[in-house]
Amino acid sequence: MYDINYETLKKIIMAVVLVVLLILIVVTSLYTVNETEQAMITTFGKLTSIEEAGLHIKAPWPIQKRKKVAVNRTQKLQIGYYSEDEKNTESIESESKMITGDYNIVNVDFFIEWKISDPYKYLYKFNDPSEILKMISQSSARSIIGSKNVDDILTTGKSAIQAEIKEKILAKLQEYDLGIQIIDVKIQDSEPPTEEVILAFKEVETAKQEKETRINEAMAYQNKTIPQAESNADKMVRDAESYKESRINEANGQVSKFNAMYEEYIKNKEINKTRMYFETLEQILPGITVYIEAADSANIDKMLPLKSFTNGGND
Amino acid sequence: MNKRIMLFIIIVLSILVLFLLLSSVVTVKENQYAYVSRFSKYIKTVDRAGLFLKAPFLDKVEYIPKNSMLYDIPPSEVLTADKKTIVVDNFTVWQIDDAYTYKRTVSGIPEIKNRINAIVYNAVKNTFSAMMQADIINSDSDSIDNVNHIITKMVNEQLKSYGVSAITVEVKRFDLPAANESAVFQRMISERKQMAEKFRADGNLEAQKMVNETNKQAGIILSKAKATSEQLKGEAEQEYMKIMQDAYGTQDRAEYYKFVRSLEALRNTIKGDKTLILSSDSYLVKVLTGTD
Repeated sequence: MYDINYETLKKIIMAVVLVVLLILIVVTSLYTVNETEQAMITTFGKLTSIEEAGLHIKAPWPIQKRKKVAVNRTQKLQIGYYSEDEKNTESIESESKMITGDYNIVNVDFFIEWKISDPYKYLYKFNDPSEILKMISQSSARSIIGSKNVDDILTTGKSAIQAEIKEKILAKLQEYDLGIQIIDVKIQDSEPPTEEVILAFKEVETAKQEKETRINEAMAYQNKTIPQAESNADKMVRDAESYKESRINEANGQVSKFNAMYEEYIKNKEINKTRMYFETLEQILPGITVYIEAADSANIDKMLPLKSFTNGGND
Repeated sequence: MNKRIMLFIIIVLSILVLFLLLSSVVTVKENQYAYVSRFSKYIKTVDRAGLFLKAPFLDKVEYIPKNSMLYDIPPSEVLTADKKTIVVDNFTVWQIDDAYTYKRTVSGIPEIKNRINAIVYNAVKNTFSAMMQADIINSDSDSIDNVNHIITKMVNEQLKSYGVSAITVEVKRFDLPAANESAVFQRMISERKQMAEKFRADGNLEAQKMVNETNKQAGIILSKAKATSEQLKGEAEQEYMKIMQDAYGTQDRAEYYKFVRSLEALRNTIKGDKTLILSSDSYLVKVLTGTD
């Protein structure tokens, strides 16, 4: 009985060991690769094939090993800041602070989008290619920023500077040959280094606005005053013109009235004249006391009192 | 009994053979050298990936990195030609070229890193002490490449003896010492304040000029108009008098006018209880006595 148990036990153990070995072999021989990756297959350490997406078989570990590389995935390198979702950012001043060409200091945050372009180089030529990319990016940015003015960096030249940084990184990448391809380089943010300096820069913008406002106000004043003056001037001249016209009309009116009366008068000059005398005298003499000095004497005492004509006095 | 012993011997032998096999086979990865030595004596360096044979149990294999490695060197302060301090932060990407020389001269990665640190510091110090601080900082981007090349060359000269070399040694960043920095910030602030003042002053000046010009123009417009209107008024009076004079131009009409006008004067002045004293040859007397 002791013998039989020993035999079967041995067989069972061997069977179990075989099954476990088989499972291990199967598990390390079958593998899948998904769309964003490639698998590097090494045989005894040497790279023997690169496999694309799908289900594959290889010799079991440790004869053949596989290493997956995310070849088609776009990766993002943030420099000067850290942000999970592009909304909340944490500033990393030790990376973003840079000296400008005109001896000012700015903080520049930027990011680089890149892809693995050559998985062999990426895995085996360098020990930490993404970190090397980060160093290259920082040194490229620093050298470009160091050749520019603070005003260009903060306002007008941002997109040109961005392009120059990208160019520099690409040039260095040629030198290093990292197996990495740059998709894009963008300046995320650039601003003065401290709160106080930011305020001083803002003050300049405010002052610029103020200048513009002043000039606009003066322009508005001009646009209001000149037309007003022209309209007043116009009125002045027109009033004078109409005065002239009415004065001429007045004169003409008086003249035609005079002429009309004269025509009538002339028709019978003597009679009209006499009539007019008497009419006037009728009007003026009532109540008037008249003293006429005698024709032959200059003595004012001798006077002929002439009572009111209409009081029955006869010549 | 014999059978079991034989089985046992077979198993032990197979295990020994297995060990022998394992001990004579070397796998080398794509990014490493295999440094093979026998009793501390160098035999060979395997620098290709794959499977290689060595003498079992006698030969020892050490793996040495073949790939290029990044070393971010800690920043250091250097003095420039114009006695100013600047903080330089370098990095280098280097690799072991000759495993034999490397193993002979250096005890390991930490030691070679220390060596690199010292060599780079020296090169940086010597290079920047010959340059003015302004030229270092305000460089067009090609001149710093030049400096990097010079430093790399200097460093590689020294690294040769360790069997390593650097692809490049680059400046990652420059910094000013903290005291200088706050001076720069102050200067930036006062510069901006000046700029703001200038904008405001310019704005006021320009605006004032425009207002003055506008007022001047308006004045001119009005004074021209005034002159014209005065002239017109003058012409008006001229015309009036001319017309009247033409009307009273002839002798007869002039007399008639005189006659009518004096009657009107009489009417207007002699009213009510007035007393007239007239000389006998006054016109009015003539009128009254009809002797005209």
